[in-house]
Amino acid sequence: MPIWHSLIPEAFLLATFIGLTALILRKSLLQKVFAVDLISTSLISLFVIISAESGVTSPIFTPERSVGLQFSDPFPQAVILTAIVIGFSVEALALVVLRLMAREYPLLRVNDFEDN
Amino acid sequence: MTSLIFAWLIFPLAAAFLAALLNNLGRLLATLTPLLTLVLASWLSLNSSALPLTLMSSPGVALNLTTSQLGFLILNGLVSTAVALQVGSKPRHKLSWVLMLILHGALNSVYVAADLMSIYVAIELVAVSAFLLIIDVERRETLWIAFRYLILGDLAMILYDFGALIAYQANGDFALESQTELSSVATSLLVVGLLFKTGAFLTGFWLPMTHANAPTEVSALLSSLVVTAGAAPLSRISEQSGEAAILLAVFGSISLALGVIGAMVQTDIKRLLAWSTISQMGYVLLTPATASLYALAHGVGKAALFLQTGQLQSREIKTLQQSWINLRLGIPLLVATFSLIGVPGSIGYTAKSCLTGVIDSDFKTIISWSGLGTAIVFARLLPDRWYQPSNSIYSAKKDIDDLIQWPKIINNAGTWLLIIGILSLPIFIGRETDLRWPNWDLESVLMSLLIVSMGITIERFIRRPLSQWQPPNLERFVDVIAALGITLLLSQVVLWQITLQ
Repeated sequence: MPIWHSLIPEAFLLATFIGLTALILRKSLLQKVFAVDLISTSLISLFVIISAESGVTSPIFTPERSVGLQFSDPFPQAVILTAIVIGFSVEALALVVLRLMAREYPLLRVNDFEDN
Repeated sequence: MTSLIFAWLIFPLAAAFLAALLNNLGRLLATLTPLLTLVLASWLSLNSSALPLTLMSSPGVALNLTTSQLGFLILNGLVSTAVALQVGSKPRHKLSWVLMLILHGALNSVYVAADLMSIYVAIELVAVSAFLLIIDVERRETLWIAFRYLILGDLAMILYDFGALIAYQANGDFALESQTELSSVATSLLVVGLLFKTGAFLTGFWLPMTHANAPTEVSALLSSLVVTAGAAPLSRISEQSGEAAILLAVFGSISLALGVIGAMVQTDIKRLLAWSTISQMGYVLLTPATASLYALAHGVGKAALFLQTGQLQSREIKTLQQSWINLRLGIPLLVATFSLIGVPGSIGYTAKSCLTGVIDSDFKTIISWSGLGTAIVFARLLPDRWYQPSNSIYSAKKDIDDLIQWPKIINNAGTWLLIIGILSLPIFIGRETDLRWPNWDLESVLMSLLIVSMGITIERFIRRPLSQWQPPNLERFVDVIAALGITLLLSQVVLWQITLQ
């Protein structure tokens, strides 16, 4: 296994921090939504990486497969599927509200909404 | 038995679909479904041998019902019914009933969820339905409030998920029972995510703006029910891990003071009530043993207060101080306020005496005097002057006539239901605990009289200096994110101190 494989979780943590920085510094609400999307994507990837610690074969048991294969852990993958759906729906709702908000303030800057 | 509970758990969601298809049924279903929860919770509290009840314990999903969650169920049933009654024949839009039913069902599933991922899913369902309830397309400012709530809530739940992942890596399971070795990072991530949803401590600074700008009946739902979506899982986690319990007690006691200070300087009654929620959530976090009872006491009182403020002639506290709130609105306000302060005879008193019963002795005096802060805050709603002497008899007579008019009582049925709850719940809860009804003695009556009168006096003295002080605005988008970060760091410090000792 190449050495950079062990750095994958750290890479996703870095992506989380990039997302957090963007969420704080970016003035546009649309970019804030993208920042949250970046954070949740790195969370999902971390779940996948963690479940692949025990192996990378998909955990489907058939008699033909030998017992010695290294299966990946099915639980984190199964629960993160729900989290993906929830994250997607939350972002979809946020974008719908942004569309309504953009009628008044097309630039969607935070200050437009916070000052009044 | 288990299948019956499952049917009850699914029923609100099925009712929501039915209400979406048949609009006419919405009102009926939204009023009767919470009553079902209320009946079930009362039956379970009378037959407590049936608990704890494991509904499902497969490796993926764990659901169980424990005695410590019963208070939340009663609260959910009572407040949902009351709000449905109060909305009555004038819902804001067709989907109101559907959303209220989904919110009710989602909250029920938060209370029975016993593994980290089920809690996450149920909380997100609560958040999405609350978000949709907040939106009022006619009022533009609600769009921003709702957007903020959704995105920041999503961020908090992502932090929670990181915590859940670390906990899974350590223990190999998501179920709360098997979280024997929670690392400090996992504990603080889980706690901070849920604290945001509870609206306590620094992470609760998003709450006043949201609760104050939402429509009245939604504010009542948010302030009494939606906050328990964070508090109920927190009580479960602190039952499981002693370190989390200490962490929450520390944050809870700071939150108590923060909320009172925030409420003292508000000029808007709905914002005052919202800041008072932050302080009351502090009590809920103090010990897991009384969390649900205290949440019940707070939720019933706060929902009644919010429902009443919708009918006041003004939201400005200054205007309210200069005018007289008539008896029809004043009596429910007074009863609910007394319950929050902890005056004997109300559910608030029962909750507070249970709290002092289980807490460490050094802390007891502070808790029994902490009603003073609440008393000072609510003394601000009293009028400056009593009746004008010239027309006192006339307006007193008119007030009493106004009080006993049936159509107005029926219009206000939700609030009256909550007031009956505040006064009658101590009788039922007294059966379970040692606090037999009437559960007060002369000493506690005198004590609460002293607290109320001291509150009124102190408020008169600090009104003028406080009105000149402009509090810093710490409720902006970036501030809330900063609060999440600071709370994470603080929780690491507290947990580190705990391990040192």
